[in-house]
Amino acid sequence: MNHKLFNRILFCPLYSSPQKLQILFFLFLLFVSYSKFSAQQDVKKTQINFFGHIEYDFDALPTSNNSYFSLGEQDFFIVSKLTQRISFLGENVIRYDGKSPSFFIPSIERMQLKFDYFKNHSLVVGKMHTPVNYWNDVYHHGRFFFPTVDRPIAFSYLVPVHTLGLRLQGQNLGKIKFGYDLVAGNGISSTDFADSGVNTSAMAGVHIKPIDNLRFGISYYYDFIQGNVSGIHSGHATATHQAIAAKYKGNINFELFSVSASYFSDKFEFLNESCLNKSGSDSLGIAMNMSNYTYIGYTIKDKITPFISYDFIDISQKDVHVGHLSRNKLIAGCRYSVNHLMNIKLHVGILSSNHTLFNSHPHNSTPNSYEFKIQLAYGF
Amino acid sequence: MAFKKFIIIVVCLLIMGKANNAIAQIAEDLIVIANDIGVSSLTKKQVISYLKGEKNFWEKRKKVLIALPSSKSELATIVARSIYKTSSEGMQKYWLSLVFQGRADPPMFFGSDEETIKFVTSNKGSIGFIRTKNKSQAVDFLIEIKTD
Repeated sequence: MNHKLFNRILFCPLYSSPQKLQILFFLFLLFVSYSKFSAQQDVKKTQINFFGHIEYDFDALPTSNNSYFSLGEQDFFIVSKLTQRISFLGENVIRYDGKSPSFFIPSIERMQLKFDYFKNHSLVVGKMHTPVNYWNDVYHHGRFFFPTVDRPIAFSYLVPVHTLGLRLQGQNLGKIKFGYDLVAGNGISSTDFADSGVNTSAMAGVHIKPIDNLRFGISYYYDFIQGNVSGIHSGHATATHQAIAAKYKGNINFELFSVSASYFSDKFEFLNESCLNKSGSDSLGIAMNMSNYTYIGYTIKDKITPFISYDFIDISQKDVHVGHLSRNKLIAGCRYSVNHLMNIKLHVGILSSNHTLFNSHPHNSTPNSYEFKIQLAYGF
Repeated sequence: MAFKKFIIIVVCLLIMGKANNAIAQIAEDLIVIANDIGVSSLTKKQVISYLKGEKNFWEKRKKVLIALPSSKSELATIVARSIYKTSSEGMQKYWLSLVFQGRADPPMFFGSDEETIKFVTSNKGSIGFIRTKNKSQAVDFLIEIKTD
């Protein structure tokens, strides 16, 4: 076929010599590029995945009962190799938003370029999940990967979920598989478009994986929140957050220390996430807040994982960013892995705001509420 | 004298046969093939480390390209058990999770040895598994597995 084409061009009287040379040169380039492409044609450059979940909830509240189905976040995920060392990751989610006319909005959750500049060291630029703890670093919006139905409570109040900026990342270094993350970028008060002031948030975290499935991590996050504004990088359920923030217009020195320990094997699963938050204002001084989440699961017959978790958050009365708060949540549930693309989780939970052994601040007691949830989560 | 020679030849053949088995097999009926990764031998520990996405680059600075058996391949269970210590589905979920975290590039999944061989032989920096019976199709790409 190619020979015929060459012969036609070479012997066709319509083409002058310079034209022939140009055409042949073009065909040569085409041939070279095709050869190069065919040599590497099996390497998949782009991968698209979709994650989502659907839920049924029954809430037994002190004053009423609610029973409803809920459409969860629908997550469009894409990764692509741009060069041997540069890759792209994008995560766009359509999720519930009470302020939207349709009650659902599209949201850019991650949009990052990663440059693997030396061995296991990388530079990441863009919008990312702030790697302050195990949950935020590993699960993101994929309910399919969550061991339970919901995130820890701290994600609604204390954890700065996103950062838009720069990240230096290292992973699996040495025998203990040491990893580090250094992040600087738009902080809690910012949006994905702009920020007021010149302050950037900063985060440093390290982790080790001394044996298979085990990971320990610690991190420190700092942000100077100008005007106590809650932007889009704070917790995912920010109704309370923003209401309190609207009352106090001074600045906040926000520090967060996080410690994570996780072990996920085929049989036994354990996760503990602790946060200590120091929130300083000119109004009431320094507020020391705390949260802890503990999860234990054990897999039987390969597919069924019964689990329990206890979660609490304790926010000081001196806090003017989140606001005085206490939440305790004890759940017992079960996860059934249909296959590697789908699972079903259900749990029963008791929620209270009572003062408990774990709280260091006084809180008013309120009646308990109860919940029952079934979640179908998928990823493919 | 002839008997001695015969014994020596038999012993040599047995040693060669033993060595030949040690060359490629990482698990029962499973051999490793790779293309231009800068070394001709790896320890099992190294193979597991690369196959679990713990290293981005080979020593020669080539990007690690991983070829794994898909769930329809007969090798999926063997690879999942010997490398990932899990089921075939567990291996798929392991990679889905790692890619979702943004910590590794996605591997390629192939349903047959022929597809794996085609991929590995045409992509530098790639590593994959095939059945022992098919090793003659990828003689130049066999990786020796050393004891850890």
